[in-house]
Amino acid sequence: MCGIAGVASLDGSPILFETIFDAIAAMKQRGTEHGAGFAAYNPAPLDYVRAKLFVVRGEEELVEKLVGALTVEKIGRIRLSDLVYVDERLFRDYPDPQIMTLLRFLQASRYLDVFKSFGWPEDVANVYRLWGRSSPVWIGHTRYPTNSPGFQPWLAHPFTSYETAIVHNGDLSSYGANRKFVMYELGLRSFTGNDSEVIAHLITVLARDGLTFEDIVDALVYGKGPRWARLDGPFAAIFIHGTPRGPVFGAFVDRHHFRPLYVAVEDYHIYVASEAAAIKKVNPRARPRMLRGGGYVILYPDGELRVRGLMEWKIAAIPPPPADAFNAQGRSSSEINRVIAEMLERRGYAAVKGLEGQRYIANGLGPGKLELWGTLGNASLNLVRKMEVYVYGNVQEDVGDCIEDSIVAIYGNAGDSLAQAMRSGEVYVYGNAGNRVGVQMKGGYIVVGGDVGDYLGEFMAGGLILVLGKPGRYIGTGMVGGKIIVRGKIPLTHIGIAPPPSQLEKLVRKLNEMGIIGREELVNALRAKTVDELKKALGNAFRFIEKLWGSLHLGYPKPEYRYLHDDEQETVKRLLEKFNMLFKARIDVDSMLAEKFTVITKSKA
Amino acid sequence: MPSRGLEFWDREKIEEIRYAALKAVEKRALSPPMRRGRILDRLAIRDVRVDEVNDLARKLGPEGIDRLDVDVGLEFGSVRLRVPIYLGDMSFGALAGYPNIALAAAADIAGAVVGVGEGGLHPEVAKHRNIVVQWASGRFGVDIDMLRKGVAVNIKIGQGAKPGIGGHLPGTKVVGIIAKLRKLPEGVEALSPAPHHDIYSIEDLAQRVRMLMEATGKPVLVKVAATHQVGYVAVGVARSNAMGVIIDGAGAGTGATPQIVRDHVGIPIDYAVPVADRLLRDNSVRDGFLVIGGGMISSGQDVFKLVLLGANMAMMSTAVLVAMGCIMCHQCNRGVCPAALTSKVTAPRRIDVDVAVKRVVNFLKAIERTLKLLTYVLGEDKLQKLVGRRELLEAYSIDERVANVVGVDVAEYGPIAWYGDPPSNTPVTPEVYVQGKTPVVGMGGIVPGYTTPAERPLDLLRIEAAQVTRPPVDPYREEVSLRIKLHDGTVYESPIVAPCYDKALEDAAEALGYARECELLERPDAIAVPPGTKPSENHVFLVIVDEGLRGARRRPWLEEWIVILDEEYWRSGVRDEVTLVAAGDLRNGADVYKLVALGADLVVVRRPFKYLSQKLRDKPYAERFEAYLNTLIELTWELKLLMGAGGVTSVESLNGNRWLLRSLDGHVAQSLGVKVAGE
Repeated sequence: MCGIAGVASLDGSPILFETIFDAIAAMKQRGTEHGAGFAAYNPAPLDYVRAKLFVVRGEEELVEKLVGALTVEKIGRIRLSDLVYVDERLFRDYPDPQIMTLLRFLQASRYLDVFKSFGWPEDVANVYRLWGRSSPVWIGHTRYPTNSPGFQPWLAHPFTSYETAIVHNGDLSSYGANRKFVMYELGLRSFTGNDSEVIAHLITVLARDGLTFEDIVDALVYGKGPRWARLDGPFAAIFIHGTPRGPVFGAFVDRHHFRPLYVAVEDYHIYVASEAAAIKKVNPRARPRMLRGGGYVILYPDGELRVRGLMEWKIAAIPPPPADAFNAQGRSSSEINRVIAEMLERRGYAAVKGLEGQRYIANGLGPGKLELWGTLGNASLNLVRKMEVYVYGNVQEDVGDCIEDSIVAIYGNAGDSLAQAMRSGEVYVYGNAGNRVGVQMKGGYIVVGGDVGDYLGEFMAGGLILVLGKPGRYIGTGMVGGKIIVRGKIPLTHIGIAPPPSQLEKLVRKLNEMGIIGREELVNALRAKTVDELKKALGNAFRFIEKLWGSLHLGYPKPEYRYLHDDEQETVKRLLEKFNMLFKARIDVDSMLAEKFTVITKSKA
Repeated sequence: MPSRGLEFWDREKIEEIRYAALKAVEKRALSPPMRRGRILDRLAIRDVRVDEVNDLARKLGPEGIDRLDVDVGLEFGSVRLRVPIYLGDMSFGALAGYPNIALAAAADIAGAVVGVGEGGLHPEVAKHRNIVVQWASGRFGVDIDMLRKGVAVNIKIGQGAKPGIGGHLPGTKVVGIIAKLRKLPEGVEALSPAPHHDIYSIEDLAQRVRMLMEATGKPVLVKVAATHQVGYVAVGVARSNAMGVIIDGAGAGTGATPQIVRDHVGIPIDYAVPVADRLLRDNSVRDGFLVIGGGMISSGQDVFKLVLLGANMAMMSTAVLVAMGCIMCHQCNRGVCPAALTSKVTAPRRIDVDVAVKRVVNFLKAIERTLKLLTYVLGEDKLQKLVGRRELLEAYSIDERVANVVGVDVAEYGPIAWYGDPPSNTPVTPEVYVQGKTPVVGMGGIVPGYTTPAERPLDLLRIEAAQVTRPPVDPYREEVSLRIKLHDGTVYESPIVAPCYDKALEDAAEALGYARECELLERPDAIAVPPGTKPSENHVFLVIVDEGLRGARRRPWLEEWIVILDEEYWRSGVRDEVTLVAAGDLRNGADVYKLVALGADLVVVRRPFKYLSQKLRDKPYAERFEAYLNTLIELTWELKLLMGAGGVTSVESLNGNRWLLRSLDGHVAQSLGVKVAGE
């Protein structure tokens, strides 16, 4: 669900609310009128806990009874509807968890100021009078409810737990386990039922235990902490953690990269958002980079910045747009598509500049030639046929789905699922690409000049993918045809998916112990780096192990580190020369062809 | 290793469908409510006497019913349907081609609509008007021309027979034109990814809906399996500008699905539809939005009650196959269908298309007549006016929580669950212990504890699958980790524990890095107790709750006691210092999943090994070792499939995660601390 964003200044200088608002407003498509919210760092007044409660008409007495004694000052009320208002107070101390459970706290924090309600982001800004406010850090959220009702203001984000406020885009499959853990760790007795709030509570628990924020992320993302603190399922989260020294700001995504986050550092600010276009909107100079699966950014109060998994910014030389190019700035995708279709119809050529991440561009069109300047949004160039497309900029997710007989040249980076189920034609990427390049590819060629993410060529059935940079893990899982060629030697553990090595080792040793395989076979098997080597080492006894790959398996991808065969040389040469020509790149084709490549094919029919 | 037992599509149902396919009128318009089986079967229409309705049907006769001034049709995109039936998405490839043509022709004639499934459009099918083309995760046979055919595009997220699992056309059927259309080498399994890799969330789905609407100029439907979150998914779909949602319930048909998934994942349609309808109304997005429900819908009265529960239309698939001659042998995945319906396309035998069309048209006519009659009996002139009129229904033998979910009054309280004794023998098939294969079956019709008696409360629990809000994970392609670390640092490769019936079994377990029951018992800090007994010693850290230590099957059940102890250890702050083991007459990966989600750390699975240790008694050691090894690996795959279906990639996230379970029965929900399906 949802669109999220965050911004922080590296030197602690104040940032206007309008910055975060503009970023959230730029992602209108990711939200609904069912909720939005923001959080800021606000340590004043010192020594008190700022409490905000959602109060439904008729609950006033209960509220007074439970927190009256704790209250130092009643700051005021903010009316959200005829039924609900937010009651803001200063407390001497944090309320007892029992009380937190009985009332609907928006926050009870010393260093945070959180604002949320139903409505669009501007409604929330208006009702809380946020315009013109400033803070060294902001996070924001616009909501597309998925697993909870859309009309209760307490279900909007951010969710706050003591000094942690979080905005989250995701749906945790581990929710039940996480909830139990924080319930007993923090003495909580009830929850909103929204999975996002457990992340805030988990950060509270882990920070209380003294973990660094890098370690907290590793506990949440990779399960390197307490057993029930691991988050499973998709998530992208941005948080603020308040401390007396200042705010900790951070963002992280799940290890599969099921949710997007883009990051840019520019002009002493760090920007994070679900979409690159949202960052460009608030700082046109910024260069948003994709945060890869398991990646994070963390900014400590002293300005120390920790980063993992940021995709490198890489873009080729870009020609200027022609004078008659249509300017897409501020235009809807339908408008843009109408213009493109009409231009193609009229003269077989269309040019569009100023793309700001609009989606669904040019789907189902062709034949013709199309030139695009700017950031191409999600689900564009799907189902195009007989098109020649030049994208002078980055492309986001799901570009080129089911593409046919076309040539696409991308001068920057590409997001996830590039050219999914491609049928034929050629796709060139000058820069890097995200996860699942060419997943279920049926035919054609994909060339990526930079690095690619995980699951390259998953379920591939035909065609060829050439990668000149570094690939991620799980290359070619479920491959039934086609070929993947990667420059240089890649770790064999990155190819396909295998049973846990510890289990394989136990099993092989047991077979030896039982006399099913001899000493030499054991040694070779333990040394084996690929399924084929293991097969060779074990001979007939491989059948004991084979089922660990599953009975529905389609074989395992077979990697070879070798010089290219003649026919491969010919193809790769052609692709590289085209790459050079398109991007004015200077790859020394002949000397590259003299190198060894890792060639991955399916292992059996 | 679930057993094949009683099923929904029994002899009587098949006879009734054949009758309707022959006579174009149903044997019975309405049946009295029952006290077992589906909720649909337990529902009565308030103030309507069953015998009077059936008498009226006889008196009027088919022509008389046709003359009634009642409209049971509706607008479906640009066409008007005469009968609110969506013939389910059976692909060209799953069906042999001629049946696809027959269905498309019948839909045009009868005024119904047919989904073409994934895998490409048969040229003969493409000629028909009332077809819905499909955009599924494998993109098989998809191009822009195909998408622009028909009246709507259906984004297939999931299906009731295998929520969280991708489409699967077995390699034996990927031949000839099927391989060509799908652009696959002949003979390979055509597996569609479990999720759409561009749809990991509801806003991704909304994006895809808008993209397809723009690219094709047609309305878009979204098909999902009925899972715990189905109401919210329906609301999300409605907000995405889609024309409607197709909800496919547990027990629905399929060409091929892992049996363990078919039997345990997702919830029945009669729980899902009312929940979806209510949430859509609560969120003010019900008007103009179509809810289509399917999964074990066999008759006009089923359709009618489903409409009263909140659906605009019903999806029927298995029933029309039966109308065309299916004999329910569950072999669809093999490509050698005795009725020539699901054979591979190159098979020489084929159905007579004209006869098949006639029979399907008759069957749909029969449904139309029943719907007209029942609408008339309720004094309405339009069936669509009755959508979601749950107050017209009352239920027999239902508990309060379930009645609340379904939103009907209770005519007579009683349990949903009905228990039978366990079978004296649950054989493990050679497919499992020789080949190590996860059993794959065709067709649905079985929901344990719902269409068939339950053996124990565990059977009433349904497992969550990820649909739209998060992606499921395919364990054959992606990592699902089963490694579990005990309180003292011991690591096992899975929570499955082997009983010590045979040295060969112990060795197989050890080879896989799995625990053996006797090894656990020998530990100094271990104790075994029967359900109902709390371990007294304070220094005990490994607690084995063993239902075998106690006599007959009675309360508290093993599963209830695991929940109680888990809660108690959490409450006293020692949960991470204790290992909780469930041991008993457990059967399969679903039992392991459910017990871990209820709070167990390790689960001793006894039944299949009891059977095997008897059966293999006289075999040599090596053969036994391999058989046990295969069986343990197969159990492991069952567990991984179930976890993957819900998007759970680590057993650590499963432990104590009762959120992933829902009960079909209110009392079982209470005693196991889980919610009721649809709550």
